[in-house]
Amino acid sequence: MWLHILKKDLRLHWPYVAAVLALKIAAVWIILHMGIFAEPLELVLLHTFSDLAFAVVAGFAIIVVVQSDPIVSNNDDWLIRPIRRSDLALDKIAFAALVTFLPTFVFDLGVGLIHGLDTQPAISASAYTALVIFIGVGLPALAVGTITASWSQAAGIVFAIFLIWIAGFIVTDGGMVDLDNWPVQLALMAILVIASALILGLQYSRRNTTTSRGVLAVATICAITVMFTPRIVGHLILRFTDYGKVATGGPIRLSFDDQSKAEVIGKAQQLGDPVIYVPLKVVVDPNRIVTINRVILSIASNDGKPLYSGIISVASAYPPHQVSNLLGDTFDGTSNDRTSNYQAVNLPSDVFAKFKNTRGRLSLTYLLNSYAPVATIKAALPFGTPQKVPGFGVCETRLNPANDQVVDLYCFPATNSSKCIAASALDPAGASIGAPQTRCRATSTQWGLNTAALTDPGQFVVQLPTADGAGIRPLTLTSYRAAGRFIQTVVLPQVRLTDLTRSAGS
Amino acid sequence: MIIEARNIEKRFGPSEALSGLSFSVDEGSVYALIGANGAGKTTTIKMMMNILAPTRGDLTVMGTPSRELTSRHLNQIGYVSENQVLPGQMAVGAYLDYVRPFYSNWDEALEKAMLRRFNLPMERKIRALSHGMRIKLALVAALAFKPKLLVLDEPFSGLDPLVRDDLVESVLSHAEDLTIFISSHELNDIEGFVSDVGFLNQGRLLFEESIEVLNARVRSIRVTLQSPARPPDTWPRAWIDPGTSGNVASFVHTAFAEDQLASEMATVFGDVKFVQAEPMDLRSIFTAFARAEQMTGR
Repeated sequence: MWLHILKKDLRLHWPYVAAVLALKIAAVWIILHMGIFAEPLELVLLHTFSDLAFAVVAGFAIIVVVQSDPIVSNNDDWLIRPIRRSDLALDKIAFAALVTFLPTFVFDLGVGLIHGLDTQPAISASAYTALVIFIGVGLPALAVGTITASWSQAAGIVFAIFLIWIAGFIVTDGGMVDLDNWPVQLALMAILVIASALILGLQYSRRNTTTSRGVLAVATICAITVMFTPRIVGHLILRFTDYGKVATGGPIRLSFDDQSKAEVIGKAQQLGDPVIYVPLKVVVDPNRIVTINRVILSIASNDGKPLYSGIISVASAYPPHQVSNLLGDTFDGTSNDRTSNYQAVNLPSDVFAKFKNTRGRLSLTYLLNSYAPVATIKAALPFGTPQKVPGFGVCETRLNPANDQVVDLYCFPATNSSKCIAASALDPAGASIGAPQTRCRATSTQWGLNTAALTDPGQFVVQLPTADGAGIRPLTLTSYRAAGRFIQTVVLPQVRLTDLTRSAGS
Repeated sequence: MIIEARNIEKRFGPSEALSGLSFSVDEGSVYALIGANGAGKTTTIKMMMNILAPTRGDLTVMGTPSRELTSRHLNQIGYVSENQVLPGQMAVGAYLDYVRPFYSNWDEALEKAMLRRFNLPMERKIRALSHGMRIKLALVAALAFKPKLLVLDEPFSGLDPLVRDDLVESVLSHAEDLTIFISSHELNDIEGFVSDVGFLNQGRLLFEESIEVLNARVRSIRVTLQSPARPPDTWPRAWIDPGTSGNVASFVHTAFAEDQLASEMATVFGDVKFVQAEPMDLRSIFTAFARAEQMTGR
């Protein structure tokens, strides 16, 4: 009978379903028009908005449909009909799946295939994304719908949750955990699934709204607690789970470049959070690519007493005007050839203020990923036409809009494990022109699935020289796969944090 | 017994809606639960239909505890309430199309006959129907599957007399093999067809009995005395709602027996000139009992 009830709900609420589908189709249209280079910015923003609108309208539709046979009412017609509550619950869950899981799965699968994903990874990635949308939007909307009688009540509950989130944000000074961290994702999903299942069970079996609202309150507090777990705890979890048992050796050696005689390092930015430049010596296996996943900063006094420990981020995009050879978050064979390398890392303002002019020992613990080459191919990619690269995904080239001497190569990692690519242009004799250009994507996969390929193409661009205006030269493309994880600790003995802004400016 | 309640108690937070409620409804009877607004009639019915749970006590419907009623039982129970919320965005025809498959014994011929009788517009949205039309539609959806038990919660409230009569006639024409449980405070409307009555007052059942017994034992008594009436110090317990005016005393006798009336009058009033004992309609009986309960301070 649940199908009979579902047909009724669809007949009555088809405008909501149509709106949800229209928004999903709009999102897909935008993605396809953004193309592989994800431009222009207006479309990128519009895509973000359409995704958000899809989630909001789908959630609204689910709440409206659940409230059309309200659980909290004592007067509604369904209560006195021989309608099994399990059928009613199944109908509502099916409707939620219909407006969240199904369109996400179908349309994302289409986008994934169009973007060059193979069928199996496309199905896996779109199914995972659809499941996340169902758990993140569908289940909470079902739960809220069953414990409220009107849209305004539901909006009130959503607003209250938002206020609690804001409070968490303020109390922790914006210290929200990294939502890409899998233990955090797992914890949040578990909270949503368990709480929603409990609420649906309670409401459709006992109509116990008071207890169900209590469950929602507890779940909200648990979710907010997980989201605002202090960063260090989140990172310790990450380090323990991801890096706890990995070797400290590996294909790279990072060390303090004492040749620089740098005893004073410090704030080198005129506005915003402080950035410090750490002189580094880098020795990397030329057959590997190494990327930085996380950096943990520890400060200790000269006698070894720990003063501070926390996560910091690499300021790889920071304008490197103040030092030569600014290191990014990716190392390859070319890193060995450089001298006077500096790693720019962001330092929280409060940490800088606290330890400014303090002489001590700084330790930077790098959580690193390494990648090994899988295959190398030669290809001549025509402009504007996506082309499959075996073992990697899809690549496309275009003339750089700002510099016609440069070709942008966009490569889209289309398998689960492909993360990095090295490309070089070839001269007519088939020799490489310059060193290979390397790029990696750090966060494109979730649970090993390339979900970013479905809705968030983003930029993954290598710039190569053009061939005298006659199109693009042949290329060699080397794809890389994850090979291992490593920890490297760089100790800076006897340094002092100071404000270098004025001297840097002068 | 098709319905049996034993010591039902229902609390909403600190307030007690029902207390020690016990009653029973025979199969095939037409049982009226009467009482003023707020007496607890709707609460009682909602517990019977498993919409609300009793705080304490045993309530069985068709031999099953009300909390354990399943779709199998609801397949045999029709329900119409003045507060019933029908899906307003559905058209009349679409609503019946939706409801029909839930019932294994839905009689489409009966449905069509009732629709013809009530002249319901099939294409009109339910929210656009008048209150009377909505009640008619609810009645169609409550009778078309030939229920064993029909529960009516204030069904005639706010209806004009023509619609009311139409509905009553319609219910009665299908009353064969049907037990009807009706709550109402529109007592004139139900007096003609109820067989049993329970009087609920402020959450407590004052009495329940067949309408014949009630009509036989309750009389409005008007006594004309020889001299200006002097009310007795204590009125007999069975005499309620007393009053005096000049040499006339009046009251409601709740244990009336014709052969004992003269001696009762003589015992209480002494010489009486004239005694008049009139049967009372249900509404007057209800009013007298309600007033008496108010007087006793309940």
